[in-house]
Amino acid sequence: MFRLGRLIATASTSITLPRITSTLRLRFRLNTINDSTSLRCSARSLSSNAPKKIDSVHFVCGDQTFTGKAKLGDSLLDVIVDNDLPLDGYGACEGTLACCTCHVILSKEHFDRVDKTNPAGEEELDMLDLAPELSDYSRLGCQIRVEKRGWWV
Amino acid sequence: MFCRVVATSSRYLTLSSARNAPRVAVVGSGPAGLFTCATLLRRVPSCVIDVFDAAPVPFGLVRYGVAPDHQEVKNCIHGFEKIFNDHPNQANLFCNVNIGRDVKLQELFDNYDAVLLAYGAHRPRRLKIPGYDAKNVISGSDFVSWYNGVPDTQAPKLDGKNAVIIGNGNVALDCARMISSSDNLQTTDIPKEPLEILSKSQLSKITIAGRRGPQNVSFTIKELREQFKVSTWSSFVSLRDSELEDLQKALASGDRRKKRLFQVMLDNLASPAKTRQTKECNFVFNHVPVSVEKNNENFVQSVRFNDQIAQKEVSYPCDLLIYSIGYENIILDGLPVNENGSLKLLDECRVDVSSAAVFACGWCSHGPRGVIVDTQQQSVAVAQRIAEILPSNLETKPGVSSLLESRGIRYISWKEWCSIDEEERRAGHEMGKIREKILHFEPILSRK
Ligand SMILES: Cc1cc2nc3c(=O)[nH]c(=O)nc-3n(C[C@H](O)[C@H](O)[C@H](O)COP(=O)(O)OP(=O)(O)OC[C@H]3O[C@@H](n4cnc5c(N)ncnc54)[C@H](O)[C@@H]3O)c2cc1C
Ligand code: FES
Repeated sequence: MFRLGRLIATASTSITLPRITSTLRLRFRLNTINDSTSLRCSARSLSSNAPKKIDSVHFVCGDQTFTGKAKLGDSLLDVIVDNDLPLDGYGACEGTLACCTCHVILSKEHFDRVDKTNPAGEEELDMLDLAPELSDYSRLGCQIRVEKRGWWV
Repeated sequence: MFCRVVATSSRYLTLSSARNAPRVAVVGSGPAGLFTCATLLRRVPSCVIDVFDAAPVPFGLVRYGVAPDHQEVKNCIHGFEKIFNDHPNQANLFCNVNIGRDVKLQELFDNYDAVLLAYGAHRPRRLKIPGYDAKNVISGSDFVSWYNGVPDTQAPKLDGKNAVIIGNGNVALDCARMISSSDNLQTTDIPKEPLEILSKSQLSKITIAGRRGPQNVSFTIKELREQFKVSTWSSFVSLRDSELEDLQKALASGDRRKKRLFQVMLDNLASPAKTRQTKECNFVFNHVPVSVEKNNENFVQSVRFNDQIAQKEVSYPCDLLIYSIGYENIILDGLPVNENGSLKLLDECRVDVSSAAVFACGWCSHGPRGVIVDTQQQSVAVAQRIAEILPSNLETKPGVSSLLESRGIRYISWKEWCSIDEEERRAGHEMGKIREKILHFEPILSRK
């Protein structure tokens, strides 16, 4: 059985969080390999009743969690690269919409929020169609940014 | 003096850790081999990896398959470079070493703690219909190798009017796009010879023929859309009523990917508006190739198909025939085979060899399907598996570098590749291109 690591990331200061705990899940899966090989990444925010600062992003992959510091404006890919998170091959085309290795799966809540301000364009959707584990809440990590007023934009 | 002591002792440390390090051999420096290396070096920081490639230069299909107008796809090379640059004492490259011929697999099994097979699947399936040996009949794989500057490839003739491409996968699309949009290639890494031939091409009609229906294509959507976006050519899909019905049915029941792909086809059906340009690229389906007709100089003249819808034979004039009907499994000597003729695996990646820890990844493990993202994901999992079995209390495994020396096998190391790379970039820069690939390596190989 394949076991992949889990990674978690949290974001930087001054990011307003919703009242409820949000969970961002990023998952990678191998077509040819059984389910247990899934690499899941999820970013969990700090839960709170009041607006809070996000200072790191958690990526959960399988049973491992990796955390990276995020600056406002960073894409999820930037967070992984700048923090040298051990997700080798993530972002292989370096954010040029040519590879899909930066696929992430968001929670519905996150997805909906991002979708309002920064919906996936045709090119991103075309790339996502290559994602081994495409979900309704899939996005490309190189296209989503950590922004003020709602997390990933 | 103090500095010196420190330097010496750290050197000693590296050497001693290298001496006790597990040693892994990787056969193939394409995405499967190198993505696995990257993860493996993370998981087992002490391991030493020797990467072998039969080609004189690294990166497999990223250099010799991915189309020159897809430069962004090649950005993954930056990650591959990091492997060697960041681990100069641990990651070693041996290009121009053919495993099976120059070094036997058994020799790798004997001299390494684990062996990763990542040698791809580069042998094209041949089109075996009467007349297939006509001149200017070429496999998609050979056409791709030619425009990507693989050494010793033969240039096709593009001075006729009609090209027929058999096959409904991305290689067929890449070939069509190279023929129809050579204007976009000027600044890329396409070598100057193929660029010149493509720019002077007289071809003005491409027919892309699928053996099965439009709902069975294995194009990916980005590549399909690209063909319809070529502005100087009219590209369109020709469907008969029953084919249209089939496609619409498939669209209604398909998943999101299929729906989006089929919609692109439906948006580009043949119509007066779609056929305004004098140059045309036409997609036809349910055409089973029957035979190739030649002229008296043995050049292809036309291709006959069995039209499954009209239930009759049809003939297409043809000056260049490219067929891309898949790749064959390649099994290196000494590897186990399963009943389908592919590599015999015990699970997703462990090869059924009892005398050694042998793994497979990428196209050689599951056949030529999927794109780089699939290979990358598999690599992460395979690296994890290799990491789990690497022994910790080790006897030193020697590797095969002394064997290469004693056999006089002239390999190209990472350092040497770096100077080739630099030279190619410099030459490219002078021509206003990303790089000008070296096509003849004999002069380099005869230097020592
Ligand atoms: C024409 C074409 C275009 C493509 N375009 C794209 C694209 O735009 N985007 C995308 O994501 N994917 C693309 N792909 C798919 C992508 O190239 C593959 O997914 C990927 O290269 C598979 O990796 P691999 O390492 O298994 O094989 P390869 O890349 O083929 O690597 C295998 C390596 O092993 C070496 N080797 C073979 N035999 C031996 C031996 N006996 N001893 C030593 N070395 C050996 C070969 O020289 C080669 O370097 C394309 C594929 C093709 C064929
Ligand atoms: S990094 Fe390649 S598509 Fe996002």
